[in-house]
Formats: sequence, structure tokens, C-alpha cells
Amino acid sequence: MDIHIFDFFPILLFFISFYGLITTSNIIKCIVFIMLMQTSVIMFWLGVGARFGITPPIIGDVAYLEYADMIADPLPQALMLTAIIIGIAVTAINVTMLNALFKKYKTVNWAAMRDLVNKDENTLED
Amino acid sequence: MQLLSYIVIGIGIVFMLFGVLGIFQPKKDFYYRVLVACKIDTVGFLTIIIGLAIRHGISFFTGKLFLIVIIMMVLNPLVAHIMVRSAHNSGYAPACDSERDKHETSA
Amino acid sequence: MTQVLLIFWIISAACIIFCRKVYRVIIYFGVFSLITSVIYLSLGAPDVAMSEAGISAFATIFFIVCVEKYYSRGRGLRREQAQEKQHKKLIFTKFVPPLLFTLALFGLFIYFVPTGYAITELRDQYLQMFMIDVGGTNAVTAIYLGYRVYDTLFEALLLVVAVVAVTHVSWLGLDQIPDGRHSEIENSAMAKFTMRIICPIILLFGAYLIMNGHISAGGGFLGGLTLATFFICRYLVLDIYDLPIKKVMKMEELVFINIAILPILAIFTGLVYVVADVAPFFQNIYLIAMSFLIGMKVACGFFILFYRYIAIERL
Repeated sequence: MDIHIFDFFPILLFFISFYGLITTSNIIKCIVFIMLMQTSVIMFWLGVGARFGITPPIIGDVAYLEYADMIADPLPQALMLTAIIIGIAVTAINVTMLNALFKKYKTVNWAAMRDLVNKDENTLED
Repeated sequence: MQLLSYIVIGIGIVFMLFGVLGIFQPKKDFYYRVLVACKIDTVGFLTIIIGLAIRHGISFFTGKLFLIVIIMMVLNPLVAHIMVRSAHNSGYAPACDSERDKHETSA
Repeated sequence: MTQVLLIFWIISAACIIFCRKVYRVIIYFGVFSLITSVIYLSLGAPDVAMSEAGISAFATIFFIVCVEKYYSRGRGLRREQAQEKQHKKLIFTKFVPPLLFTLALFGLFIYFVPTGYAITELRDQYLQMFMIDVGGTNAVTAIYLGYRVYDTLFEALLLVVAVVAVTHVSWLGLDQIPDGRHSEIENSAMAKFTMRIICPIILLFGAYLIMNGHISAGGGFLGGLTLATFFICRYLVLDIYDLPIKKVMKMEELVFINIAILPILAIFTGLVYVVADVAPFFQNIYLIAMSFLIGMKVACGFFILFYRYIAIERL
């Protein structure tokens, strides 16, 4: 199987963080692992057709275009630049929602919080 | 000129190496490590940047490097100062002092 | 060299995943972001690398503020260890089925990932045409301000929505914004003096990044982050909340409306292309104006987020 190195490692990181996400019981760690998954996806995109030590797509002179194979692909970079900002916005919302939950239930553990939420719902039904 | 720049960069890397060794010393307390990290980091970084400046000669790029040198020279000790100050204010006592106190009281 | 960097990357990620203490997870995340940034830079993506470096600093602040509240003076850590001890008997059933499941999914992905060469037609098209179509010398800026300006519009919208959501969720049970908490740095005369020297340099650097976004690496996002850093330094040293936060929010919305209007005037009506035959000067004006607006919006957004986290979430 002839797999590219920039395909293999991001997928590996994605599934390592996926494993962490489904085994951990701490909500803060879950938020960090979601950031890790996002980083792996960004690395996967940037690795498409890329080599190590390739030139950035900043062209000072038109004559550089003769060596177009040496220039990195600008399209994934532009897409990922927006994806990074969106990622930090999502993280900020996650942390804020966690703060709101912590104010109510005083815990950051998934299991303990689930028990408390179930208790609340039962009292509401009664 | 090339050779000189490589020698200077190599000296900077050796500084950094000693700094890393100093940070990972067991049985030393927080203040000792912050001192080592701050001093060695600043000096090693400055040496590496000066080596880069020698390598490039006098150009616009060297001016940018000079700006970075000034900023790092000011900011790196400041960061260590703030860390140590917060640790001291929150009541973290140096380990050596307490040991010496024990020794003096026992003697 | 490639393999060495990527293996260090995976090792630092594994440190994050298999570490137990939350403080260490956050510090390892900083190391991970540093290595990620270096890899981005060597893949020929300086804009993305600088964004990652800036973002990781902000994320570290968010998490440290978060953790400081939950785990103050080791109480939370003991509670967490006690909760982990309760589930210690179930270690086989808790860790082995997820491991098998993850391995199966990983094998599937590795098996089905496409191999071969990347198609470079679109890249060649962009690289050949962007200097004539949009202007500037940075192809990345030309793409996210010219060819794919829709992406930038919706990204800006998403940041505005995130800021509004954060402010409205974190106002739980608070009628008015309290004064700032006492910060450690405030009493240090050395920090005050140094920051007085450094802050103008930071402001200058942010302006430089915004103005040079279409020529070299940088651009609106990075310039905005740097401007936000200026305001944060100002807060941390002087410990004042004199910026009225509601006015900053109003200003962010106004800037967003401008971000929506400017491409409509410039690109969708074809004004830039018509004028471009006369002089590329107008293209540069368009690019700098868009970079400036995006920088202002990102600076406002991150300043509001930081303010929220330090002033209200820490209480």
C-alpha cells in the first residue's frame, strides 16, 4: 500500500484523539481533543500535494511562475486560514457553555454531570 | 563570514543545550529552573539571531532581526520576573531556604 | 527531516491524550501547537503557521482561566481522582472496546484514502491569474479576498455569532459588569515600564501586518490578533476596564456590515475588474481596505472574548 506520509500521520492523529474523546470522562480534556481533531484535519488539507521545504505561494516576480511545481498550493491554505478562526470560535463557545454548566452543577465530569441532570429531570417530572 | 556565522550559531545552540540540561535537573526547585530557563534562553536566542545577522550581512532583513533582538531582550527577562513574582506572592517558598533553616535550627 | 518532525508531532499529541492532569494537558497543547506551526511553515504555508501560533496562545489563556476556576488549590484534582477511582474496576470494558473500534475505523480510513498525485490544474490557474484578477503578490490573500470571498464573509459571520453567543451565555445571573479583578502584574513597576515600551511596537507590528497582507505573509486575521494582543497587554498592565464593551460589540457589528458591503460594491459588480485595466492601484486599495476591516473585526471579537473570560468567567 503506497500511502503518502502527510496522509498517514493526520489520520493517525485524528483517530488517537477520537480514542481519547470516547474514553475520557473530563469535559475540559474533551474540548482540547476536539481542537486536536481540527488540527489533524487542517494538516491533512495542507498536506495535499505538498512536499517538505516547498516555496510559499508569495510570488514577487512573474518569472517565478516558470517553476510552478516548486510553489505550494494556495487554495487549501486560504480555506484552512478561515477554518482556524472558526475553530477558535467553536472552542470559545465550548468553554463558555462548560462555564455555564459548571455554575449549575459544580462538576466537570461527564458521568457525575449526567447523574445530576437525570436527577433534575426526575424532579421536574414529579 | 559564512564560517563565522556558523560558529556563532553553534555557540548559541550549545547555550540552549546547557539550558535544557539545567531545566531538567531533579531535586531543584522552581526558582532555580526559572532562573536557568530565563538566562540561558535569552542568551542562546540572542546568539543565534546575531549569527543569522552575520550570515545575511547588512540588509533590510538584518534590521528586522535587530528589532526582534530588542524585543526579546526586553520581554524574556520580564516574563521570568512575572512568573517568579506570582509564585512568590502566592506563597511558594524556595526549597533551599527551608533546608538551610532546618539545618541551622538542628545545629 | 519530515518524518522526525511528524513523529515528534504524534508524540506530543500522545502526551496530550494519555496525560491525566489537566494542567499538563494544557501545557502539552502549547508544545503541540508549536510543532504544528513549524510543520505548517515547512509545508509552505506561512499565513496558516502564524495563525496557528497566535491562536494557540489565545486557546491557552481560555483553558488556563477555565482550569484555574475548577481546580483552585487542588480541590478539584482530588475530586477528579476520587471519581476516577470509582470506575477503576471497569478498566477492561472501558478501554478495550473503544480501542478496537478506533483501530477498525483507522484501518478503514487508511485502506480507502486515495493515493496518487494531486491534480494541479486549479493551482496553476490561480497562480497564473491572481495577479491580474485580484492583485497583490500573495496568492492566499488573493484567494480569500477575491476568488472565494464568500468563505470570508461566512467566516466573519460565524465569528460574530460566536462572540454574541459567548456574551449572552456568560451573562448568566449578572445584572452589571463588575470591575476588574486585581492582576499580579499591576503592582510591578518593571512590567509597567516595559509594557509602555513594548505596546507601541505591538501596535506598529499589527498595522504592518494589515498593510502588507496582500504583499507578504500576514493579512487581516493576524493583524487583528496582534491588535487584540495590544489591548490585552494594556488591560493586564494597567488593570482598567475603560473600554465600554457594548460599544465595542456595536462597532464589531458595524464593521461586519462593512465587510459584507465592500465585496458587493467591488467584486460582484465587477468594479475592480473594470478599473483594473486603468490602474492596479484600485485593486490594492480594495485589498488593504478589506484587510483593515477584517483586522478590526477579529481584534474586536478577540478582545471581547478575552474580556469576557477574564472579567466575568473567572468570578
